[in-house]
Amino acid sequence: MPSTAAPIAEEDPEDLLPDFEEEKDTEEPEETPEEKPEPKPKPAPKPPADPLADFLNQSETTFKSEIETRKKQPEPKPLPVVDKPKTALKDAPKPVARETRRGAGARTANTARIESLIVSRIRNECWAGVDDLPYPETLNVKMKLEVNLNGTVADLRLISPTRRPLGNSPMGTAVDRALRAVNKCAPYRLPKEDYDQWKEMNIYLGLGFTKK
Amino acid sequence: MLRKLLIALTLGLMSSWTMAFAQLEIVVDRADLKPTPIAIPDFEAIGVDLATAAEISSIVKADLESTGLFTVTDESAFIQKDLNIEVAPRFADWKIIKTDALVVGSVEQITRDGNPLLRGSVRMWDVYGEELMRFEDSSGRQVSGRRFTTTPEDLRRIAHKISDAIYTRLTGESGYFDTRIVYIAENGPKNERVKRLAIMDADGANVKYLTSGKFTVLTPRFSPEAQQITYMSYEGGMPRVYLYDLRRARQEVLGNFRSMTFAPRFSRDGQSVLLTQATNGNSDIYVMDLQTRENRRLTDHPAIDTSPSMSPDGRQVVFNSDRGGSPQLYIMNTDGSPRTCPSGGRDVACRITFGSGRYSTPVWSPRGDLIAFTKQTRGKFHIGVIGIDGSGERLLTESYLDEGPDWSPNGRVITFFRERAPGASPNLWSVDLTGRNLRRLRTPTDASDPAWSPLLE
Repeated sequence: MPSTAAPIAEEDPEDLLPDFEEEKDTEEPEETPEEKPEPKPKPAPKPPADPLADFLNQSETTFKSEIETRKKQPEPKPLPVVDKPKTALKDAPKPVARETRRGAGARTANTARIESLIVSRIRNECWAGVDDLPYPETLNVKMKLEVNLNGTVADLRLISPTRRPLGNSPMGTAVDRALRAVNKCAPYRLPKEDYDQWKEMNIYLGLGFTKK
Repeated sequence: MLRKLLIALTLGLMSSWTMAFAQLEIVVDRADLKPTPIAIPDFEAIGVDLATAAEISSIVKADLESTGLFTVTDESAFIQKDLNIEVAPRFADWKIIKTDALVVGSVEQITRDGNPLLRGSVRMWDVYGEELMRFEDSSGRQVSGRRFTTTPEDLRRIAHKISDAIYTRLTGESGYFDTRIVYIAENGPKNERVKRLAIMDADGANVKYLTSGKFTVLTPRFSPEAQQITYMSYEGGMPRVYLYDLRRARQEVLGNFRSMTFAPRFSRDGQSVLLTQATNGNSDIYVMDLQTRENRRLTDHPAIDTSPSMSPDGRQVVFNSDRGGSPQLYIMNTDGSPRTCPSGGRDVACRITFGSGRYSTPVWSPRGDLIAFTKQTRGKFHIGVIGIDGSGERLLTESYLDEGPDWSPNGRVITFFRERAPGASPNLWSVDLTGRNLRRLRTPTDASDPAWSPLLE
């Protein structure tokens, strides 16, 4: 019979292939030792007699001292122009970096520049997008990334969806691609003096996150 | 004490507010679609010659590259050579050469009941995630790899099955490599053209001719089980719809129509065939039950109604009619009941195309959301797609003559035939649903009227 083919039997690979025992390489690839943030000196432990009262006293002192500090601080200087060459990041003055910690509405040029560096790298080098998948506008992935000082990934977690859907589905593929993109983009070469700004980030990949 | 508590609460709130907003927010809404880099080292040969293992891995590479969605990493770039399907690779070696996924496979010869068989096994690694990518087997279970066994003559099918598994795992959609394409093989001068029914694997291998060429045949279509083909033949002098049984290699006339029948297509459940019957210059659409061989008339209109194609759920039929003055696409309910038309009002058949030009050969997509068609406008032909409500028309190709689209079983790729210039030979082509990856399918002769089979069992 020229036009029919022999059946293909699928066998259960779980039964036939043993689960992997990850082999330890005898020759580890050369790796630069991971740089870790300098550990902060721990205060000598003093067991408080009344922990709550002690904590509240400490809070009040901190609050007063914060008010005093803010009073003493000069008016913030104008921020550097955003369109400086990328190399300028390394020379960014530390006080400006600290300013970015102020939060909402207080983004500095450095924050914006770091953000655009990461966006550009993910978009152009690491993420394949989801345009080729069915209903791409529904395939939105949110992740939380923690980065070591040397730019390597310390932790990467899915926020939405909270886990990869089992089986073959466009959302499963979108999650795979998103996680792969973030891992692939590492190490993140960003200015170490601004580490506080980029050590944690939320990453949103998907058409549904289009900025209005 | 209360004051202290308030201060503490305020501080706590301020601190969490500051922390929440200090975090960097990275938003990337789209990226240029980049092919996924994938490494497929030659499969390990166990009890078979190296050439057999290499042939299977090279078919897998060709399958995946043909989609335009993957780039296969060049073997000369590989650092790790000592791969074993049972051992995790050295991920660092694969990250350096910027490959996203690593496929490790083996081919071995086994004997079962005294018969030699080939067994292909494969596992895939996420290089950057540094983990095994688990597959879903045919029963929906998560498994660590896939393994297929068949006779040595069918080694290409093992490769296609492996390609389908990889494609599915990396795209979330079912594959289309272990499929066939039936088409009309053409040769000879234009005025004495010999047209034969031919069948081949989706990658162009294993071409076989099903009819002798004594009678002209046209518009072949697969049944959903891929075991039957319906087509039109001029055997007996008058065009009639035929059925060809692939298992028995036999053909039969479908129905006892007194006039010519043409443009057949199976319903999605394979229980009936939609076709056109022309009587006294008027063409209408019928549906024939393959068990009872009884006909039911679907359209009854003085205009030319032809090229029916059923929706995946079997409830609707799209067809082509010139009842509005020029050939356009219409949708009707299979039971003939009136429906609300996208353009307003209620009618038995609703027109869904209103653009300039002439529309023909509509084919409902396996996903159910789109209809592929041929469009002729401004002296050019196009293959296009449109939503079932007539929205979102997109033209995917343009040529002197592009015609006869048909969908891959996953609804991702459209095959059609093209004549590049007046008098040029027709050839088979395929294009991705996005309009990318336009490719010619190689055939030993000129070719037209391709139709894609479902995934083979």
